[in-house]
Amino acid sequence: MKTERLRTKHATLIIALCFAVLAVRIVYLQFFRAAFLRDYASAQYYKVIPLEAKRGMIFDREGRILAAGLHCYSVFADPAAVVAKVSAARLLSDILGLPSQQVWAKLNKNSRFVWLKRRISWDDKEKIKSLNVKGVGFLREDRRFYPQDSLAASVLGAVNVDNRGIEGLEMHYDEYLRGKDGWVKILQDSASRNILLAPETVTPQAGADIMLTVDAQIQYWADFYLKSTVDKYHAKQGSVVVMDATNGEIVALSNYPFCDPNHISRESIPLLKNKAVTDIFEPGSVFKVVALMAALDTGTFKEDDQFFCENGLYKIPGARLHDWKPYGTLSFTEVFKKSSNIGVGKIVAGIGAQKYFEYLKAMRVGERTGADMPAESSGTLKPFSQWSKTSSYMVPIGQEVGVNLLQLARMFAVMVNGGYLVKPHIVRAVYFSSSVRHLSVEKERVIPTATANRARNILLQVVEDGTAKLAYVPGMAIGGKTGTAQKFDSASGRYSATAYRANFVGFLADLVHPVVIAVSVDEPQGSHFGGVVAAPLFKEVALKVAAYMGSEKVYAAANEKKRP
Amino acid sequence: MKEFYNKTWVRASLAVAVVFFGTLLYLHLKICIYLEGYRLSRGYQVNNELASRKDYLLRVFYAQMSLQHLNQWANDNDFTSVERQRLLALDMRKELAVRQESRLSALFNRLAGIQPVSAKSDNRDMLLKQ
Repeated sequence: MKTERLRTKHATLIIALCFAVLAVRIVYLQFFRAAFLRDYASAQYYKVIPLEAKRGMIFDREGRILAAGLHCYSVFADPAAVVAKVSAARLLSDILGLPSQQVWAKLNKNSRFVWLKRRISWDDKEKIKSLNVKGVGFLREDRRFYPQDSLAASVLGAVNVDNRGIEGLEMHYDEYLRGKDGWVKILQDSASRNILLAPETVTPQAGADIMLTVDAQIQYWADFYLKSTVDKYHAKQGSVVVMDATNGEIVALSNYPFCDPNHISRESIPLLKNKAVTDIFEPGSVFKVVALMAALDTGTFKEDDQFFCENGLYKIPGARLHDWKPYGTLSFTEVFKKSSNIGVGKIVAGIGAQKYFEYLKAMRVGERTGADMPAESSGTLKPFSQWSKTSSYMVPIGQEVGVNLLQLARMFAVMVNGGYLVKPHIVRAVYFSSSVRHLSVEKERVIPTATANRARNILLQVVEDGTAKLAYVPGMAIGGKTGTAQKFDSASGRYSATAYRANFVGFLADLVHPVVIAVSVDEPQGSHFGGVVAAPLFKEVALKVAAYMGSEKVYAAANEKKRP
Repeated sequence: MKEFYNKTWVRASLAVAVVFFGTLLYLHLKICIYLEGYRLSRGYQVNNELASRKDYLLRVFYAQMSLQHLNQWANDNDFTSVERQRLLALDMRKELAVRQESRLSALFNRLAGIQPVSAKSDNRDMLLKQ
């Protein structure tokens, strides 16, 4: 009996001890490991899916899509799960457009995950899906798509594999375009199927859409005619800027050679550089317009004042000034019509170098325009204290000074818009999810309207009866100035005798919104004159722009010219 | 009747029944909610699938209808881009003479006093007003 009681006691004690151990374990798990275990369990039942924010679209001024984020698929495989690898490789290679050997090698890798091909189309994904190849899966990704291919590529730029802007507007406005990523935490069943039960969500914020001032149709013409000209003259490169003179809106901006941002590579990325904004060059005779405006504004000279142009050779301090053709006496207007370096030198001498320098500063030469595009160069202008006696003759004819093409276009706009220096811009509006931000027009008066009109009238004569006759169209109010700039050879420290830059900057004055078209062709072969190489390119673009922008009068005149 | 309800087995049976039906209802509702969750998840999948299809169609559309293709087509078919609001119109500047194919028919036309036909419009303003 005693033994039985003892046994019962022992058994009770052992059971009590077991329960005590369990109780201690429970207390330990509940109070000391609770957080860890909760997370451990939720990791098995819950899945966090990152939600990538949709990158904003880029439109032209008429709403045409220039850049958009589209769904695409990347196809991967688990080599261990793929059976009949030879036939699978053959079937997949046909759809993926890869050699079957390459696919077979990937399917034989000693790994549980291998990319077969990144970013295939939905159509190809469906074809692969219908094959029912075990061990092959898909991952949906967003891919930037540029529907117009190389059109305005140097303006738009491109994105990297992570959908971040690396060039152009994609980079400059990346903060707006990219939005904010989100995530969703959802329940999964034992078969890893998603169950959307009260999911915890941080909603992704889509990037803002951007509307440009660029008109894709005009951009097409600028691209088309620029390419023909550069190819025709076997030039190194070329640029065209079409700008609304009244408000600084860039209607087209083209740089050739082009690059297709849908297929960028390490080699093609430099072609995305916006050379019209980043590259500075000595402008040559197109720069004479600053002297023109300064002379008229100061009242030093009038249109019919006479200048003796020294029959083409003029000794100045430290150098000799040449004209491309010997001229005797020319009127003020003729100096610009014939593009006489000596005449312009004498005009600036009459104004005074210091005064002329003040106009250069007023025109913001040597400063960035502030256009909303990345990597804009500021240009070069020596401080007046560093000017030599030669400088006051060389700068007015576009040497010893550096500008980019956009700065030249802005300078010419002053003469068409009544004397205002406008700030060029390429984005018209940014469309956020609940608001729209319109970018404001910035301009400042630099010369009176009357002076601007007088300068404009002289440039109209340059085209009608001057060095830019190849840009002339009867009935159209086209003005402009040619420029043929010798390139500076840094190796020899002298101006090159063979390398030139042919420039022409002109305007269409009788449009409701007058436009300035600036053209620059780098190192053309065969002919290097701005009036021969750049002016016809200007004319082709100008005819299209005039018709397209709704000037019936201009269009009729252009038609009249072309009718047989 | 009161006595009947006071009996222990009856009470127990009722309690079991209440618990059973309560649990059944709870589980039924839970399954319904889970099914909705599955359907919602499937709805998102279908939505994504349709979005992918839309994107694919957009890409195919632009492959054939980009500005380059449109301008090329306009050029090949004697159309011209006119204005922003009126993008395409027949290019009146290009004159398309309709040529007779045989000398015999040309001779016949001359004898019959039929003038060669051209597709040129006499009224250029039509282009601007259409």
